[in-house]
This record gives sequence, structure tokens and C-alpha cells, in this order.
Amino acid sequence: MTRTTERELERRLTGPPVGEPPPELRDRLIGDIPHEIELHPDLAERRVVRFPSRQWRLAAAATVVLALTAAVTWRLWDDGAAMRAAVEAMASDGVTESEPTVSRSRVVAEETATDELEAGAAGDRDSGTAAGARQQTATETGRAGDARAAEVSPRTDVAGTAAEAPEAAVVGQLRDEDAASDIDGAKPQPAERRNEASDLKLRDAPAPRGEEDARRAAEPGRDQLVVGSVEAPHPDPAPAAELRQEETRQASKGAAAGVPKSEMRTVVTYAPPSWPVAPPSTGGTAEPNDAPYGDVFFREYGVNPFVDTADDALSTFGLEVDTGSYTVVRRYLADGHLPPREAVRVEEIVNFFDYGDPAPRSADDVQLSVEGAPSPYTDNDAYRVLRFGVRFRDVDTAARPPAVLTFVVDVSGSMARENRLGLVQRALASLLANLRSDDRVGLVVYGSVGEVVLEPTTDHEMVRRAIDRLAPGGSTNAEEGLVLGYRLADEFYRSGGINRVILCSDGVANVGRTGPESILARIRSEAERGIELTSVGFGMGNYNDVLLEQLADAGDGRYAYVDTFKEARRLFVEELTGTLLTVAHDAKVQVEFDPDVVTRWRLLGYENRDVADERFRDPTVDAGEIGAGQHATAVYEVKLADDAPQRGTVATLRLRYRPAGENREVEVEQRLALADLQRRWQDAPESLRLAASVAELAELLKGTYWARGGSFETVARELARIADERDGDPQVAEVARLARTAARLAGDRAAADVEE
Amino acid sequence: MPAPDIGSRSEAPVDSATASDRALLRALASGDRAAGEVLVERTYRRVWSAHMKFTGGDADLAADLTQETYRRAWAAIASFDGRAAFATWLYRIAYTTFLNHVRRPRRVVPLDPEVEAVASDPGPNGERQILGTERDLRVRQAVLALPDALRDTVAARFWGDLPVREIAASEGISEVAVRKRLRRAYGLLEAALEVTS
Repeated sequence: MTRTTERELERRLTGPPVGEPPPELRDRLIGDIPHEIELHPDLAERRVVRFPSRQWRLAAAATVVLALTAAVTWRLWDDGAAMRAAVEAMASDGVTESEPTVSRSRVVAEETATDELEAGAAGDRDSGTAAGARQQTATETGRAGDARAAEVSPRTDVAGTAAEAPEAAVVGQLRDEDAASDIDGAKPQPAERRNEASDLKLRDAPAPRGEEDARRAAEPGRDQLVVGSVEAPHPDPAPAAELRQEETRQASKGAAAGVPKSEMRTVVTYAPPSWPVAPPSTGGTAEPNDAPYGDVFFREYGVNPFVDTADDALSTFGLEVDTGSYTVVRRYLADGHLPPREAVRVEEIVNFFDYGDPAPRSADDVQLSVEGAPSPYTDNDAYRVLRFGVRFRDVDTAARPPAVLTFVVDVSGSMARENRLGLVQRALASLLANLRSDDRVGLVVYGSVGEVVLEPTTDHEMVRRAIDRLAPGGSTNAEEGLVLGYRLADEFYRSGGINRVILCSDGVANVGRTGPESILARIRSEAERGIELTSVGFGMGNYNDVLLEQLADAGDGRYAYVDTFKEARRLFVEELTGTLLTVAHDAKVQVEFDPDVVTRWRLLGYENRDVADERFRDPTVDAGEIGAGQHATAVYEVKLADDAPQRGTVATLRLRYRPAGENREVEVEQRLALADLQRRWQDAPESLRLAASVAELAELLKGTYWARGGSFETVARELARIADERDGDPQVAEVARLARTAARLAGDRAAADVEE
Repeated sequence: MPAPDIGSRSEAPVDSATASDRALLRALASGDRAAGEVLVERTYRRVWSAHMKFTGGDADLAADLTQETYRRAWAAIASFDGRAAFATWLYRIAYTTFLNHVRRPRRVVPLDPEVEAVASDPGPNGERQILGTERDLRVRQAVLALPDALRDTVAARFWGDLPVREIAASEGISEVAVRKRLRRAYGLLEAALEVTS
């Protein structure tokens, strides 16, 4: 490629200038600045950086080399003349030696550089601290002296000290070796160093032990010793304070005397330790295997592992009836993309399907189903796949209480894309057509600001006209919309009725200046009063996915993603009673495995619904809200013991919930006997095969460790077979098609990877 | 670029003109939201400009994605360890945000074909303006069609306007490797765009 071609390419890649951002963007961004942030430990402590051990070693090595150089230099000057000249030079440079008789026993020229320290440090002159301080300057001065030797006239009263200089250097060297061995010994404290100090250490004076920690800094330049500005912990706080005072005094003295800053000669100072001895734990904020931050932004709940029954025979979780993840995944695959792993929530995909579990008998709220069989998706013959189904009673539309529904509709500019708003409008229209005449419907919209379009009314025709008039535009102030929505819902609250706020948004939500927590708190307290929230996502991405789900969870409500009008109809119309009328609160499931029969178990999905085993019977645990007619399914893989007793129990399924409008909890259970398990996959009921296959598909899409041996092709074949058995059940036929698409896309990706 | 914060001894007040990004973050952590505003003020034009280039000049979308970028950044601020410059870190988040945006279902298939047939999506700005010139569009598509590693590098270099050194540091590869990637990308782009000088 010619250079000209390259330039042309670069020019095109850079593209034309983009101009200035829209003026309101800055405000939107500032509105999102959080009130509280937690910093990375490396930042939270001032100017403390983790010092890589390699650099540490370099620093130590450089230190030793410098010390040796100094030793040799002093040796060469053993006759004293040059040395005296050097010292004289320092003295005549304006540095006065204040106490020539003190402390020259070991170190030669320290006074020249540290004289201002003398007064303060005199008290502990013979302590390790002071010796250390002097010792650092020894090499410093040695080099400075080297530079100055030529320009100096001899005038000195420090004769005799030169002979002792080598000793100082050697001491320095020994101490440096000490320091080096400390590093290898991985002493915690020296591992943390400051930027500037460490930088200096690399190219400058050796620092003895103790002072390693103190990491003093001195500018190596000839005439520029920076006034000590480096805080460092001191092994002994008392002299530290003194030194600091002295430094301040000296500095102000210098300033008062009009000494230019560049000529002020100061010195190393100490400060008390400025960080806690142990750096704060990163707690739960650290990413697994140090993943780059790119992974942080999607709520990845991880994947449940296998658990040894001997360790824990109980599996407890909050029940979940959301199905949002399936529609999201469907949308990705239909568009020819594999979904991002974080978008795949196994339980929501499994729960999308109707497994034909029997409805409860008239007096009961709920019916449990249990089944199990070997599975083609597990590692070997010892494994079984289990399905536990829960189905709640349906409520006749005519029998349900009247509803007050307040719709909060996002009409911001982004809702114009893909005609999202149009989809919302059509969905609302078909919902209206299915409401009872005594249901009230209100409408709030929000763009840049929130606006009450219509107070809850039973005049459905008026609502329809209001919905028709909605038009997109403006930015996204979801918080204001929600606040208005709740105000209406409050005002028109109907006791004994269904009170619900329904948020329709693409999720690009500016949560306002107060941050998501305040709106979540509001939603929670309203939910306690009986106003529930359903959030419906239209054409959104993952982060927003999390936000909408959080909102719905806080509001004891439901979250769903709508990708097509068909889905909107299913959600708003077919599941209307379910979405509107909660029949069970805080539904929790506990499965107990018999350790004699099951050696290990794994729950597929429900990662973010975990409840501590011992809190299963704790009524304060906030768990799943279940609407009328809704069903949920949990799939397990278990490994059977070789010597399992013939008549044993594999597992007992327990469901605990609070019936709507009651203050007590109800617990029901169902046992799955070993004898109930099917012996062959082919003989297993199609409900079990469908659930296992759909779960496998979800795990493959999620790329979980446990599905590593599986293939989309196998799942696709199995699903196609089940669809046939169900006379082409469109839901199953659709998921079979999706599995084939996934197989193709995964194949493409693998091929692309090989090429790359 | 941030001024070094040598010698800044007091926590507050933070001098908005000279304070380092770290100092501002610390101030924000201690409750000074004004410090956050300074950080935003310093960085948002670059983030927005990167999104403009990612999206081919859709100002509305770029603004949305910029907001999304910052929201993600704040949510993940505890993972910013200061090894890279704050602006570089933000760029990476911006890029991830953008990729998620293109990867997620969009425009390829209308949400609801039925509706779409009747009411096409005019968008607030009109299709022309969104797409920019035909040639810019082709360049953008060619870049997006590059193999992942090459695409990331080209995007960082030209759309994020990051120096090769920063790209190398943030991707954990050598500068030579970055240049190699760029050259490979040039080769592919030359063919795709039929660039003649």
C-alpha cells in the first residue's frame, strides 16, 4: 500500500468534524452524576498506587548500583582534597553548616543538604530515623559534590570526615540489600508506594530501610530541591510532626526572605501514615477473573454450580414468572445475531412455555407438578433432569375486582425509532378493548417533562383518542413521568381494586437528578400501599433491561419485553388477568434432595432469585409475585447415587406463599419418588423434554460451563420432534426454528474465529 | 489531559481548572458533585464525538448513547483503577455501549412489520441527515465489517481519537501489535473501499 493510499484511508476513517454536542446534553449528563460513588481502592487512597514487583526489583537494583558507585567515588577521593572541595562547594552555595561538631561520625556531607533539618532532628540524631535521613543524602551529596568539585575553592572545617565516607556508602548498600530482601519477602507495606517517590527511587538516591516506607522525595536536580510536598508515613509519628513543622517554618522563612522557589533547598519530610494499614477490601465490586469493565454493565448473575447434596441438600429461591428474556433472545436471533450472554436468563426462557400442567382444583390456589428422566443433555447415565411445575389458579375477568390502570408512556425522541410508540399505541388500544367498563384508565406521558394527559376515567373512548394523539419528541425524563403516574394512582386509588402503574418505555430512561435509588424507594413504598408497577420494555438494550426489571421488582410487579404486536397482545390481553391480579405474594420454592438418592444437584437459572435456605419460612423475605393463571417451572440436573435405595425419594418440592389479601403464609409440597422417574428420555413426558431442551438452548446461548458438551443442532432436532408431537404447536415450532438459527450463527462465528 | 496533582495536599476545594481526574473523582466520592460536573465537562465532548462517529452522525442517537455511556461509567466507577487515563476508560465504555447498541435488534427487522409497512420511521431528523454522505456510510460499514480485533483498533484510533500508546495499554498488547492491526485493517479497507490515491 502506498503512503498516499494510506493517508487517503486515514483521512476517510477520521471523517468530517462532528461539530458541537447538543446544548441540553450536558445537563442530561450532569443530572446523571451519582450522589454517592465508591472508588477503586487504588484511587480511594490518595496517590497510592500498587507498585508492580518487577519495578520494585528494578528500583532496588538501581539503588544498589548507585550505592556502589558512590562507594567507589568516595574511595577515589580518599585523599580528601576533592572531597573537601566538594563539601566546601556546597557550603559556599549558601548552605550553612549549623552544627559541624555533631554527628559526623559516619556520614560525610549530610549536613550540607540536610542542615535545615538539624534543629528538628537533633533530638534523635542517633536514632535510626535520623541516620536514615542522613544516609539518603549521602549519595545525593556525593553526586552533587562530583559535579561541583571543579568550581570550588577549598575552605573547609570538615576535614577528617571524608575518610569515613565510604563507610556510609557501604552502610547504604547494606541497607538497600535489606530493603531488597524485604521486597522478596513480600512485606505488605513497602508494596504500596507513591508515584513520585517511586519514580525518584528509580533514578535516584538509595533509601535505607525504614525510609523505604517513608519514601521521601528530593528533586535530583542540582539547584532545585522541591520543598517537601510529599506526604509519607513515618515509622515514628513524633519526630514526623517535628520535621513537618520545621519544614513549614523553613519554607515560610525562605519565602519571606524572597528566595526564589527554585533555590529553596529543602529536604525530605515525613508525614504520618495517610492510609490504613490494610487497603479496603474490594468486597463484592471486583469483577470475576479481573474482567475488563466492559463486562460490568450487564447484570451478569453468574451460573449456578453443581452442589453436593452432602454439603447442602436444600435449594431455595424466589419464584419467577417473568418471560422477558425469551422475547429479547427471540428478537436477537430473528435479526440474525446471537444474543449477548448476559441477556439470557434461563428461567425466563423456560417459563415462557406452557407445559400443560393441570390447573389447581377449585378450592386451591396452586397445583404442583414433578417429573424426571434421563436426559441427552447431561454428562452420563447417572444424571437425571427434573422439572418442577407450579401453576396458580385463574381468575375469571368478570370475577376480578375493578382496576385502576395508570399508563406512563415514554414519548421521548427515541420512541420514534422502529415505530416503538406506534407499537405501544396499538398495544394500549387492544388492551382497552378488553377492559371492563368499570375499569379506570389514566395516561401520563413523559419526554423532556412529564405531563398528565388524562386522569383515570372509565370513558375508554376518551382514552383511545388520547392514545392516538401521542407523538414522540424530546429527551427522557422517566422519573418525572413515574412520579406523576403515582400521583394519579394515589389520587384515584381504589381500595379492594387492582391499582397498577404500567410503564411503557424503551428504557432509555433518565432517572432524573436524584438517581435510580430514590425512584426505587418511591416504587417500593407505593407497592406496600398496594399500587403495583408493571414495566414493559419496547426495543431496548441490556442495561435498560436491568433498570426496568429492577423497577418492576421493587414495585412487586412484572417486567416484560415486547418485540411484536403479537407479543403485546399476548401480554396485555391474553395474560391480562395474570398481569393485573396478583394471587400470591412472596412465592418461594424449596427443593429438598435426599442425600441417599441424589449425590449432587444443580438448578438451571434463577441465579438472581437466590434465597437463603434458612429464610424459606421467613415471611419478611421479598420474593416473587404471582398473577392469576400464571405458571412457573424450575429445571434441575441431579446425579443419582450408585447405591440409591429402590423406594427412595429423589426430592420434595415445597412452595410457600402468601395468598392475596391474607396475612398468613401457606405451604404446599409434592414428593418425587425414585420410582416416578422415567427410565428413558424417549418415554419422558413431552413437558419434561420441552423444558429440558429449552433450558439446554438457553444454557448454550449463555455459554455456560455445564452446557459445554452440548450442541444447538441436537436441541433443534429435539425441539422439532416435540413440535411435531404437539401437532406443530407454534410456540415450540418457533423455538425449534430459533435453535436452528442459533446453530447456524454459532457455526458462522466459529468459522470466523478460525479465520481470524 | 490532567495536570499532575503533585503537592495537592488538601481535599477541598478542588480547583476545577487544574485538578487531576483522580482528585476530582476523590472529591466526588467525598460528596462534591461539582467535581463530577467538572469531569463531565472535561470529557463529554470527546465521548459524544466518538458516538457521532460510531453512529455515522446521528446526533440524537449519539446524545442518547453518550448519556448511556456515562450512566454505565458511574455504575462501574469502582472498577476504574486509574491505570488508564479516565478519558480512555470512558472511551472503552462508550465503545461497548455502542457495540451493544448495534448488536441489539434494531432497524434490521422492523419491530412489527405490519405497522412498519404503514408508517415508516421518519425519525426526528430524517433519514438523510442520519446517514451522512454516501461515502461516509460506506467507510463506516466497511469498518464495522472488519474482524472484531481490527475493528476495535480502528475504531479506537480514528473514532475515539486515541493515540496508539493508549490503545496498546488499554488492550494489553504492544504498540507494534496495534500498528500491525491497523495495517491489516488498511489492507482490508483498501479492498473494500477501492481507495485509489
